[in-house]
Amino acid sequence: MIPLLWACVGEAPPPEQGVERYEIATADGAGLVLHRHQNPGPSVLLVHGLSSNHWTWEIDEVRNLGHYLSNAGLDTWLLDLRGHGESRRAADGKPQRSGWVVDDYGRYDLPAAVDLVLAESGRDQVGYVGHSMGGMVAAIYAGTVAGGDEKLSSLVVVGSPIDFTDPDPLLDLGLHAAQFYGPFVGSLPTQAGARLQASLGGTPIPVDALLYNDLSEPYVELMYERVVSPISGGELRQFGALAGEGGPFVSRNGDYDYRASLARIRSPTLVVAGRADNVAPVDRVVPWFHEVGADEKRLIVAGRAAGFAADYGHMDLCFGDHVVDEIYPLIRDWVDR
Amino acid sequence: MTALLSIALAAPWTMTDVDVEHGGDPVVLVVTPGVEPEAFTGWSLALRRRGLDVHLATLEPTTGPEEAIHELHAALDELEASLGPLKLAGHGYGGLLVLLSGYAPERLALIAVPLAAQPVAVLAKGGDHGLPWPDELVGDYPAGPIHPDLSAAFAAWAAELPGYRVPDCPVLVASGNRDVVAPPEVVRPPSQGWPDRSWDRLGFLALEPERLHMEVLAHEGLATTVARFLDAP
Repeated sequence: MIPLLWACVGEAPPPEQGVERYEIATADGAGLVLHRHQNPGPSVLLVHGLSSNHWTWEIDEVRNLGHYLSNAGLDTWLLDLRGHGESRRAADGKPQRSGWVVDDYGRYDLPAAVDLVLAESGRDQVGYVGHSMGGMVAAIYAGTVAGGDEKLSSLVVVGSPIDFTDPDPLLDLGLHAAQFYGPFVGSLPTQAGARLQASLGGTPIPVDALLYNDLSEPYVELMYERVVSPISGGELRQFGALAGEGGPFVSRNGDYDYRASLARIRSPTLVVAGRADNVAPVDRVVPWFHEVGADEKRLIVAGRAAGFAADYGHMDLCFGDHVVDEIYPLIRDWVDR
Repeated sequence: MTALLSIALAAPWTMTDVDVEHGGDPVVLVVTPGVEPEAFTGWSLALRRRGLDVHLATLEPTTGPEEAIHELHAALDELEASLGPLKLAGHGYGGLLVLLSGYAPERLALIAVPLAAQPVAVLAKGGDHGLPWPDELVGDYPAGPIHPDLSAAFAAWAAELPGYRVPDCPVLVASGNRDVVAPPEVVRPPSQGWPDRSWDRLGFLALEPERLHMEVLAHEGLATTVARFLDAP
């Protein structure tokens, strides 16, 4: 019973010293929280993925991309998309738990966050690093927000799928389930489930192998304890629409093909995929590299065949056992421009 | 094992019969040069248990890829003359040789067969891209003789694939996420426009252990998938 109660209540890690906290409102009334490691260097914005939060990038003191980039002199910002992490309240102070779709992250959350970074830093551009859905929403932003891409000095997408054709059976099942249940749920309490999992000592469950391949035990527990946030019913519905014949990644009303918008992205783009990523397999990530419109672009497949210490899984790319030595430097070098 | 692999046809190519009793349509597994036929025995028996009349075509080219392709086409023509219309299955570069030969089977299963060059990012660092892949990345297998020119061609094809004719028969393409020789990014998207093609991701989502390139030959689930595909009319 105690684990269950703790799972429902949960405790966020205490705020870090020297980190500034910003609360802003989006144009459609959502509330966002950003954390900033202020430095004189170029600005960079880190954005998490589906059912995650900004602790994806700062799971502890060591595996901490925020600190890493800050120590390199970069003005580093971490965003919690609406309903995730500390972005729990709308601009009017009411809890925000549901009522939005994936489109809203790219059309409202990113413009508000990017404009805040530019205003506070006094710069014209910001580097962007997105994990999984955090990369996908950059495609929404670049495709639908006028002048959006021009505000990005660089783009790094990490384990971000953009190709949903040839749906694999389990992915297809999940998407169909999302399509079916999406209309009936306000949000999916993945956070409570993850914290319960953590409180039970990280009992192996099948989802583990979906998420990581190179992650030692203490971090598995930390992941379930800190990194998971709920999924809104709207997200479920929009991802569910990818089901069936493997539909394109389009807006909720179907009027905009976000994959087609990759060609509009001119920012230098680094695409990172994990060889053992079962959430965003390499073949679903690679189209970023082939289709993005940037003249300067690079693809990295983090796996042993390419000289990495391990075949990286989905979350390994953010806080795996070798991420500090192998992935962080790649990101730093790309955004430090 | 030797008795099981009785040689049915003469060199330079051989057809090895692993069946005791012949059942359904004849199916030919193309053994990749450089791999001992024993590596295909388990897969052959698994297919046979599923009702297929399985034969192995083993190439023994004494020069480079041109001879291997020529040999394979001649072998398949002769097998067809004795067995009737063929259904084929090829693994790795053995499957690629089928495509390069231009042979037109009734049905074709391409298992872990690269259909496009790998993005350079996938290859190991170094001037030779780290090829050939070490065993720890492809899985243990009984290596067989291979002419250096053919071995060099295989390595070069990872970075630049020769042109081949898209098969117009029903095709099954399959690959696993951990396969460094034919990862899904050089299998699934390049085959998307083929006229009658099915796709299968091996070991997906950890419902079963993921297999390295050579390990799929002992994959019971794959045998079921391939048998169902090849057994179709």
